[in-house]
Amino acid sequence: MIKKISNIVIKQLLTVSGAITGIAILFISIFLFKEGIGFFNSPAVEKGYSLYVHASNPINELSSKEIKEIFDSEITNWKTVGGNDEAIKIFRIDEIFQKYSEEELGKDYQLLPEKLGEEIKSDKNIIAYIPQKYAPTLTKGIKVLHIKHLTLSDFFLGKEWLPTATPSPLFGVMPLFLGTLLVSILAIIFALPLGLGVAIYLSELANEKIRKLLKPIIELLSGIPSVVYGFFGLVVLSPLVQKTFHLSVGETALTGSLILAIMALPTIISVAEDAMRNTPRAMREASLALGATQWQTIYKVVIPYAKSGISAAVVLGIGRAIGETMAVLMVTGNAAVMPTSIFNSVRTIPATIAAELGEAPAGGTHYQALFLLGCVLFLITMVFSIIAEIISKKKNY
Amino acid sequence: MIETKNINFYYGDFHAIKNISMKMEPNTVTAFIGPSGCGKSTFLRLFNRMNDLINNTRLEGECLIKSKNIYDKSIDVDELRKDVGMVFQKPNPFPKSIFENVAYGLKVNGVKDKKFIAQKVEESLMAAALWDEVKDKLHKSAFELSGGQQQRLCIARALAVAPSVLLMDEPASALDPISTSKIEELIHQLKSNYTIVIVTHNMQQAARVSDKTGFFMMGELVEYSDTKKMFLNPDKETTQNYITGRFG
Repeated sequence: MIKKISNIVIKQLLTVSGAITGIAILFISIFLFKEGIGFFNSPAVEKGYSLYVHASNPINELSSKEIKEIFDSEITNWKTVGGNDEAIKIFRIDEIFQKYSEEELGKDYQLLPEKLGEEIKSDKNIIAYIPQKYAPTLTKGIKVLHIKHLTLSDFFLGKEWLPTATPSPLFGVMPLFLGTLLVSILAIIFALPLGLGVAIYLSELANEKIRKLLKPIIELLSGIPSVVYGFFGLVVLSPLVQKTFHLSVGETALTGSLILAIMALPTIISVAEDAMRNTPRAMREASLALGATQWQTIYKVVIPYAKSGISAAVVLGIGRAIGETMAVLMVTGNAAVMPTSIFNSVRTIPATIAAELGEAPAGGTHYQALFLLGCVLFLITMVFSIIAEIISKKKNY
Repeated sequence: MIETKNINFYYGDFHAIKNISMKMEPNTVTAFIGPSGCGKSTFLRLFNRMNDLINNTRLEGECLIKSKNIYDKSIDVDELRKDVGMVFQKPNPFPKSIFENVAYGLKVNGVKDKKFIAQKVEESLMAAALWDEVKDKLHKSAFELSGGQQQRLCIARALAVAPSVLLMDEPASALDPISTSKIEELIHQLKSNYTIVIVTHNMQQAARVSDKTGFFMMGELVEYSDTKKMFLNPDKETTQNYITGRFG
């Protein structure tokens, strides 16, 4: 009787814990995507500000990129954005204070909205960037410029990540995405051959004593906090890279990928080694008994047999490389620009989220953009897992 | 063909083979029988130096194959194993196609000529009496074969590298009676071309297939003589007791 009850209780407990885990994961993903998708419903100017133009201006809406270029004086003529052939006059709220004294604006800037309205009305080529708090009271002669929502291509193909630029921040994920890929792929290029080499050495060549000594040490390495690795990278690796390649700064994509490679190594080694040691003894013996050398046995029998375990090792390694935040944040130089060489400073997606989330006002466009970055990261790692799943399920025979 | 002189073998402190000297003639089948743990498999595995793979072992004495001490420093172990093929207790085909399994030994020994490989594969499968059963599915997985077929595939695999000695470590112990009789038939046929040493715990099998039989116990070779004599009129009482099933 008691046996029966305890059986049922244990069964229920296991079911419940499974369900809780499932719900938690589902909740996190939904939350991530919900916040992220909100990005595409946000206008591309800082919250609380609006853009005004003269009523006669044929332009009714602008995209964030156009706004940014106008205010950077890269676009100087309305014609470029589809308007009249007239020079653009940029107006920022500071200019009003040069024209009027504080008394003229009245107590608590009471008269400011009115004056701003007049200012805009007086110039038909003006574009004014004004806080909504001081929105011009005048309704005739001026109009609010409609700002286009951020689009998928703004986000995914944009080449500039300037989340705090005013008036119009840019959320182009391309430099971050490429930075992440560059650092991760480089890290894998360094870590994979080395990791598999060590795994082969440990499982096939090393004698029992060495293996028993090395394996726990290597496994211990994967437990070191990433910030410690980052610190090591910053203090040791980065100056080394700088000196070796005669660079002006040592915090580069290369440094980041080296540190990531070191971090991914223990996982790759330990998982791949386990897989190779699981190759049945009978397989090795069969191969050796046919006159195959040890090396032939390793690459013709052991490695193919351990293929799925090895690919698991690779994916765990890549997963660590792509998702790693702290160490990369510390050693890659954090420049959100399109990477052109491995000696550039880059910035990865996780580093961006970690560095900027604290400064992004909750619910704002920047905040949502960071969530969207989270979604991108989520999808990248998912793609890798699926690829790995396919590789490991594919049987040789 | 094979001759051992005062062989002693140790696993660590355990004295597994005690001072065994014996001779095996070319083109004969020699069977090793004895209770589990008597050292017969260990002894067999000395002939292709398979015990080298086990750590912490030690060998004393000489083992001559074709009059050469195979434990001499000048011996190339890979070459030795090419000449002394082995079939294991459990069928252990590689996770590859049937064809690739048989071709493996040739390929690792540097044979590149595809025609030659294909020809050898066919010959070996024929010699192992498997050709008719697999000729239409050479490129299917070896794991699709039955246990008995897999074991014959392993024999074909061993034959492909053209050894002169074939070691068989309880080759039929994991098989059903029909597969077993096929393997035994095969051993009869192979005798004309190979020197065969077979370890078996099945005394009827030893009686059926072998010319000479060695009876092992506790690491010692108790008796070694013609199979007929051994089973009809053994010299020692222990042998008599074992054969008649009084222990073991």
